[in-house]
Amino acid sequence: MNLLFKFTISILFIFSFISSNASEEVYPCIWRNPERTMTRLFPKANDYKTITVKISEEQLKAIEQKAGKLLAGQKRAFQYFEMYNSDAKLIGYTIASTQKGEYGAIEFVVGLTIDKKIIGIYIQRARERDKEFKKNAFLNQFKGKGTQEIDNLKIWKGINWKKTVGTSAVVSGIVKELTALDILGKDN
Amino acid sequence: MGKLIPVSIIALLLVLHAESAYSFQIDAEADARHKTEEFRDHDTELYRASLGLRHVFSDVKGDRLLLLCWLESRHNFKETSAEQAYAQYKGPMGRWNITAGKFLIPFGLAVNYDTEPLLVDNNTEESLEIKYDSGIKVSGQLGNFDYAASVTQGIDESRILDNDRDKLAAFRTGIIGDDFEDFNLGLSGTIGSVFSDDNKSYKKLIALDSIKYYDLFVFRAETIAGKIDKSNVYGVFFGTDYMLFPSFDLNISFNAFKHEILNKSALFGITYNTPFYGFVIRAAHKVTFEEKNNESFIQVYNKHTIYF
Repeated sequence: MNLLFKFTISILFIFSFISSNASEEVYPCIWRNPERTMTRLFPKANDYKTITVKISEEQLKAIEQKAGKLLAGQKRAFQYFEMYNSDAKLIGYTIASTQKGEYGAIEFVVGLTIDKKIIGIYIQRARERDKEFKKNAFLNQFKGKGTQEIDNLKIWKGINWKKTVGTSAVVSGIVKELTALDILGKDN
Repeated sequence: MGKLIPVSIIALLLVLHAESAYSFQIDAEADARHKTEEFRDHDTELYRASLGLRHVFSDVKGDRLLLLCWLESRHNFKETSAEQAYAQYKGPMGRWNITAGKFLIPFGLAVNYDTEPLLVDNNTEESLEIKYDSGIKVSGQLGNFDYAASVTQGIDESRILDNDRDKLAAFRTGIIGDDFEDFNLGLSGTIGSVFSDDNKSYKKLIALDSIKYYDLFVFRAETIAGKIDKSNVYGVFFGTDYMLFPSFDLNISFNAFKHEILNKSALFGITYNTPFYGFVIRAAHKVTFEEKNNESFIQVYNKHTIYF
């Protein structure tokens, strides 16, 4: 088993360098306490299902054409969560997102209806001096916006707030997650 | 027997992968270190290599069963073991979960702060002596509170099964603040026997741990007190990370633990998050006060996740 383990580790280690040619800072999303945030967004949810969708080259091109370049580490798979009520009926979606802030990663969670319209956004964690992107008045502007408003969100149409590295990261993240959900949800 | 559990779980995961293509996850970590002791003696090694396999089963209502196996090899592949191998049955919305197998003991700061990939030491080795153990755990999330309680064998990696009836019970309950989930406070307790490094000891310990994010800082602290056999013990850990500038973190920590003697150490380091996915470089200097020992480290760390 030791030899098999060494071989597997070596292959994966080499593979990770080959697949990381893009010189871009990367922040794989680590969602701490998912159920707590899910309950805040969906108080009537009884359970959730993890959906991980592999992204093909064609799908990646389509997403990046519409939403901009994805961070390395987010290009091969898209993960979201289907929310169910006590009757096992789908009531919405939750997506955990990580984007690059000025100093480090900004982690946030988006809740969506079954029509893929935003019902709420929570900032999970961020070590930033900028406080603008954490303000509820900024985050509440996204409520009701969905996959049909991706093009508007890209140019900040309908968002009246100060453009900072933090607020731009949140807007960019929302655009990318909505685009991925829209394209991958249709294809799958 | 030692290889049976992880090999069985790996085989099960591979078979199940054929049934469910999109929820099979592999994590791989590699941690290479160069150490200099007293500015003279040098040593370079692949300190740690890990492989994690994870699979989630869902039913019509949601995620139901999680299978996880985490293999680890240390010191240039000289010591290989299954650090974790468990099945977790998930209740609705994480309110309750039942875990059986080998898992992280729910005690102290280690629950929310994994120092394995870091150059920082915490007090787990001095206090509990073991970090992972085999048994049963009940855990869950209720509003702002989380809880976990376990009964395990109380043995280290040198054994698979316990030879006596002495077990280890542990619990941790925590609260997460409402301020963007940046504040975490936990209370833990443990009682029972631990067999480690051919020694058996009886432990009665309590711990208070906290994590707070503030601006560009992260603060982490832990206090442990209790008894190991007949000796009174206590320990403190304090650590902080500060974002010096983008991608560069300053790391400072202080550790003290009194069992038979009081051992104190301090670490001063820097972390660079490189532009490459999961690739981190760290450098640190550690001072152990009682032994008057100086150690310097350079670490190259890489973590990668792939989905099948």
